[in-house]
This record gives sequence, structure tokens and C-alpha cells, in this order.
Amino acid sequence: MNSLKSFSVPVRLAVAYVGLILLLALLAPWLAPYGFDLQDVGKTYAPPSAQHWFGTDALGRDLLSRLLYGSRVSMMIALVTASVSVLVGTVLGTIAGYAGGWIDKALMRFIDILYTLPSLIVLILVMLVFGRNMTGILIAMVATGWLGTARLMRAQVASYKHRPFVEAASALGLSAPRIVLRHILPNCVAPLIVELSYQIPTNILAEAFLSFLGVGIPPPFPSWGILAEEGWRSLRIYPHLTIFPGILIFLTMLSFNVIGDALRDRLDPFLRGR
Amino acid sequence: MIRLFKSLLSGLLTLLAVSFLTFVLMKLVPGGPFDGDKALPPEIIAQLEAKFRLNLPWYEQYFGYIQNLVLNGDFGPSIKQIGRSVGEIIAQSLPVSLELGFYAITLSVLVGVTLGVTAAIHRGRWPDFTAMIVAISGISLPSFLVAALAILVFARYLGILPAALWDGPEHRIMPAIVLGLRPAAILARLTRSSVLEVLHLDYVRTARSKGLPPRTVLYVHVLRNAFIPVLTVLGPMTATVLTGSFIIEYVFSIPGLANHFIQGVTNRDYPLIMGVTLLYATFLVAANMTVDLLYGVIDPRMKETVKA
Repeated sequence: MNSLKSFSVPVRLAVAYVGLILLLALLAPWLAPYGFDLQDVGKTYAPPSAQHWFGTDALGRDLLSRLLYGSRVSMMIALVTASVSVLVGTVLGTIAGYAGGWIDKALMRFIDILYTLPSLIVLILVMLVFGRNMTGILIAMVATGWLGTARLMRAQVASYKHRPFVEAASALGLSAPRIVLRHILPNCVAPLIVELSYQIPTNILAEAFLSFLGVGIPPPFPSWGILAEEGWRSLRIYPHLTIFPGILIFLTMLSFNVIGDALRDRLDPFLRGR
Repeated sequence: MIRLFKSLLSGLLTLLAVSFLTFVLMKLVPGGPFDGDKALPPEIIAQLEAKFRLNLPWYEQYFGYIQNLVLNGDFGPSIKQIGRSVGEIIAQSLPVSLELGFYAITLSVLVGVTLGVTAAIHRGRWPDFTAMIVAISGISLPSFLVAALAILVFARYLGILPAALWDGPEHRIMPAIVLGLRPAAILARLTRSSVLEVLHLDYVRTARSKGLPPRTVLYVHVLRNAFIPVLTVLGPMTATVLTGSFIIEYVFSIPGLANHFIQGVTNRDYPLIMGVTLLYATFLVAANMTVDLLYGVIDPRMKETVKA
């Protein structure tokens, strides 16, 4: 059922694109024609040419190389932060859904409160508390990213809690962690995969936002967001410096969203066959 | 009445919790308002800190702030914009952000709902595919890219729209469209699936088999129910659009709230950070409450469930 061929052409293209980006990101140090911080002051703002396919930036650095290294940074941030967010949301949501009672009420109230704080404000403040580095960006994105998964998992787990197979397991005297891990969670894998595939593009965008506002991970380390922000300063004269990273972010987010939609349609029994 | 009172109370408690969280988080950020470029003599710093009550323990600062806010409706003085109160700064920049947000939301509701309904009634045919390709592209487009393309095309090459600032009506067009694009795309997708869901229901089939014209069935029977999920997201979305303006205000140099927030964070201007954050949170709480109340109007069944 899950073989790739059963999906439509756009979905297969999206999967191929994501695979390509991941491959480019992994192989960046070997594929990049120049170092990501190699400056050539005699060749600043060079237009795209055979030597520099995507041109060079204000310091004469090769944009293609920086985009390749940037894919590495951006994809790593997006994948890691999205996975940890979904994991944290799963753990807390499962606890709330299975425990019920005051634990459930307290956690859900806490989530309601966090939802009232604009996520961009939390992102900026948390990022500054923990510093503009990988740890900071991880904590900031998890702090804003786990809420949705937690709500989803709470509802999922609560709905399974009183199903006959769970009550049977409970009557057999199995421990709560065992029931949750072996009997309930395996049923929730599908919505979690969908959740993850939507969290990744959200975090790609969040990283770009942070960099754009000057509170992302600091340059000269390249990420798509940093490259776009650096390009923005000379937008009127050298638009390619903004447009290329922008298009890369767009295509990557689009691919993940297309994959997310396809998975959701496939896994959601209410939408199946429509 | 009791319901209204309860939701007001819960809203206030939420805001109190938000203010506390923001305050703690903000105080945890390393650095202070006075460690800027030139080092000030310690006695002047001590004087400044006394003036802004920064020499007190953090909980006294927090309670002092809340007290002043609740009793006097005063957001306190800005630490860095000398001589200005946060209230003044908000009074000046909030209308700008609200206006921008209003255009963007109006635009996105008009475009999003139209696209979504069109897609749903032509399901599986080209209007559906076109609308959904537009929508999924819309949610995947980073706003700075749209802004960059818009500035290049309309300001640089065609020269028909200004690239930045917020003076005349022509300055409103690009930011409002760029800001409204993403919510429009989200609404289009949501409206489509919501209308599709309702189209399958028995009462719609009944309405059709009574011989009612398709137009009447759509406008009178389908859309009213299909709007309920749309309404649910509109509340938080309004607030998101207001803060989504962070990037938009930055790239178009619009003197709105978001720009002041970023300045506040950079300068560790604590009262400014608190004021803007609380304002955003109040919008979100108010938006959610409005949606809750509107449920009863658009869907009388909800009222019954709440009463029972």
C-alpha cells in the first residue's frame, strides 16, 4: 500500500526533490566548488557565470557553495528540531491522555496559555536566553513546536484508552507504560508521521525568520535564512542573492507540504476514498 | 451571561500567566539596557536602574509592573526611547499594525473562501486543481521571497508602487497582499475540505431532492455549516497575521508594533517588550472569545449543548 508508485506524480517529484536536497546537504563538503567562507575581494557581486554558477556575494564568496553548505545547516536544524518537537509533544500528550484527571487538566491549560503567546516572540526570546547557537535554536523551536503534537496525541491516546483491546491488556495486569508503548502508541504512528512532515517546513521557515530578523545562528556560518538576509541588503542591485535562497526554501517547503498532504490523505480513514 | 463572565475571567487569568512567563523569559535574556556601546560610570548606571526600578528583586519588579498596569493602565516608561512611555509608543504604532492586519485578513478571507468554495464545487476538475496548486504554493512561499519579487517587479522595474514606508494608500498595497497570501492559502484549503464534508451530508441531499436550485442549496444550506471550522481558525489566525507582520514590517520598513518589539529586544527595553507581548496576547484571547461567542450565532446547536 505504501509503495511509492501508488502516489501521484507531484508526490513522487516531491519525494525525489527532498531526497536530492538531503543528498546535496550530506555531500556539500565534496560537491561545493569553493569553501563556504572563501572570500575573493576582487570578485564581489559577480553575476552567475561558468566559474560561479549562482554568482558571488558582497565578499566575493561563491553562492553555490554557500547554498550547498546552507542546505546542510538548514536541513539539519529543521529535521532535528522537528523530530525533537514531535517527540516531546508525543511524550507529554500521551501522559496527559492516559493519566487524565488533574495532570491532563494542568497540562492542557499550560498549552492553552502557551498558545496565547505569539510563537515568533517566544522564538526570539528563548533564542536570546540560550544564545545564538544550535542549542538555542533547538530549545526555541521545541518550545514553540511541541504544542500541536501534544494536543493531537492527548486526543488520540484518550480515544484508545477505553477500547476493548486496551481494557483487556489492563485486565491482564500489564503495567501502564507497557500498555501505552506496546498497545496504544503503535496505533498512533500514522498521525505522528503526518505531524512530522508538517513540522519540518514550519521549522525551515522559522529558521529563516530568525535569521532574517538578525537573531538566528550567527554568520559566517551559512544557512538559507542567513543567505537570504545577506542578499536582502543588496536586493535592488543584486536580486539573485535573495531570490536563489528564497526559491530553495520555497521548493523545499512545498515538497514537504505535498508529502504531508499525501500522507494525511492516505492515512486519514475519513478522507480515504474521497 | 455566566458563560461570558467565565470566559472573561479565564481570559484574564491566561493573560496574567502570559505576563509572568514573558517577564521571566525576558529577564533570563543575558545583558541589560545599559551595557550599550559606551560604558557608563557605575554611579550613573545605579541612578538609572533606581529610576526604572531595575535595582529591585525581579518579583518586586514584576508585581510593581502588574500593579501599575492594572491600577493605572500604565505600561511604564520606555527605557531606551527617552521621555516616551510605552503607552505612547503603542498608541502610535498599533494603528499601523492594525490597519495592515485588517487589510490582510479581509483580503485573505475574500480570496481564500472564494478559492476554497470554487475548488470544492468543482472537485476533481481544473478549477479545483488550479486553486489547490495556488494554495499549497501560498503556504510554502516564504514572505520575504514574495516581498522581494513584488518589490523588484512593481517598485524597481515597473515603478508603479513604492518599495517601502507607510505614507499614502499606495504604500498599503504590497504589504497587505504579501501578508495576506499565506492566510488566504490556509483558508482556501480549509474551506475546500469543510465544504466537501458538508456536501456529503443527508440534509444537503434532501435540500437538493426538494428541487431547490443548486445556488440556494450552496448559499443557504452548505456554506453556513461549512463556515464553522473556518471561523474556528479565523480567531487565532487574526492574531497570527498581526504578528506575522514581523517580517513584513521589517522588509517594508513599516513603523508598526513588530518593529518596536524587535528594537525593544535588541535594547533590552523591558517595558516595551512586555507591553507589545501583552498586547498581542490580548488580541489572541479576545479573538478566541469572539469566535466562541459567534459559534452560538452561526450554529444554534452549539448553544443548546452549552446550556445542557
